[in-house]
Amino acid sequence: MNLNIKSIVFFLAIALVTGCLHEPVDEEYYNDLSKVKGGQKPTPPVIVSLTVSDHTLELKFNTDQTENGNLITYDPDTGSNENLYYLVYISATDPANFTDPKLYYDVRYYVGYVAETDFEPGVDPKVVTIKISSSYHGTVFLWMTSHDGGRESDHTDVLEGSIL
Amino acid sequence: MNYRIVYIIIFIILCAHTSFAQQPFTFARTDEPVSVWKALAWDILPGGGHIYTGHYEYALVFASLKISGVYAIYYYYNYWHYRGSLYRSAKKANQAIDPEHDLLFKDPEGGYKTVKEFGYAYDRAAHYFTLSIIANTAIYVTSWLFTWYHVQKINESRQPTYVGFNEFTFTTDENGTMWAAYAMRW
Repeated sequence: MNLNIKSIVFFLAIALVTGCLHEPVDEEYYNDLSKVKGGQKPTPPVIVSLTVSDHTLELKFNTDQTENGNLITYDPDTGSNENLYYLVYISATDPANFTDPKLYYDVRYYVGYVAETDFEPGVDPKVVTIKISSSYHGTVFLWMTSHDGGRESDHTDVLEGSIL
Repeated sequence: MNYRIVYIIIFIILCAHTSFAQQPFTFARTDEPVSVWKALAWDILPGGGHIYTGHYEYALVFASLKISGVYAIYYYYNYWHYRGSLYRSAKKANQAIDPEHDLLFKDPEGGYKTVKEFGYAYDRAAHYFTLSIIANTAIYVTSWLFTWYHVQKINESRQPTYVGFNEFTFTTDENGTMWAAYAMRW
């Protein structure tokens, strides 16, 4: 009989414990960068120039230039930019007219990315070329961000070019 | 031999035997009809209705199902509130840390989720809780149906109760005359 009572108490204890595994968390639970993928967000690259030639855009940007001894583009969690990716966005409309600032990072304007490791280390400016459909004629607005695999930086200044 | 005296002696012995035994005898089964409402009320407890009707194998099955079902409600209710708290916390933190980006927060169950994905997980938890209630309702209804069916089957085989007593007494009056009396009640 004692064994039966012990067994019942044991199973009840397991049931209560497994039920209590899901205690609600408090509202500040996620207000902690260690629980955010990527931790602190990286700094954005600096666009040097945008050259339009026929339907080809040539974008030059810096990431390795130093500013007071610090890299211009880096991930604060690692102190380097070796783990960074540089994302390019293009829009046919002026992003200054975006109703929501989140649209600067929207996938509908995303073109592609290059990695810091795709370039020779320490060499600036870095150059990427983007081909636009020959059927398009008009203005293009271009901006960039950096990404550390978890978090995305703020966007760069927006550059404008015209495709005739 | 006076056969009348022999008959009287045999009669007295038989009556005395049944009278002194003080035990009722029945002409049919003494079981009363089983109350459906009592059986259904007992069935609120896990297996109670089936124990009441004497179907112990059903009692074991439904007791297990009901206990598991109640535990599932308890578990998923907690889980629902837990996922809700994660969602609210992630939403608030995203707004505070970087409102322009959809941040990825570490899910305690593994991987990373955006606020929107935490919202989906919260919805799923609500569905699990709802399903656990529906499952419990189905288990209780099924158990009640079986209990009702078993009560009907039991009552079909039972007859009204007839219980009889007989009584045999000896008395003597003041003149020393002995009187024998026999009574039978139904």
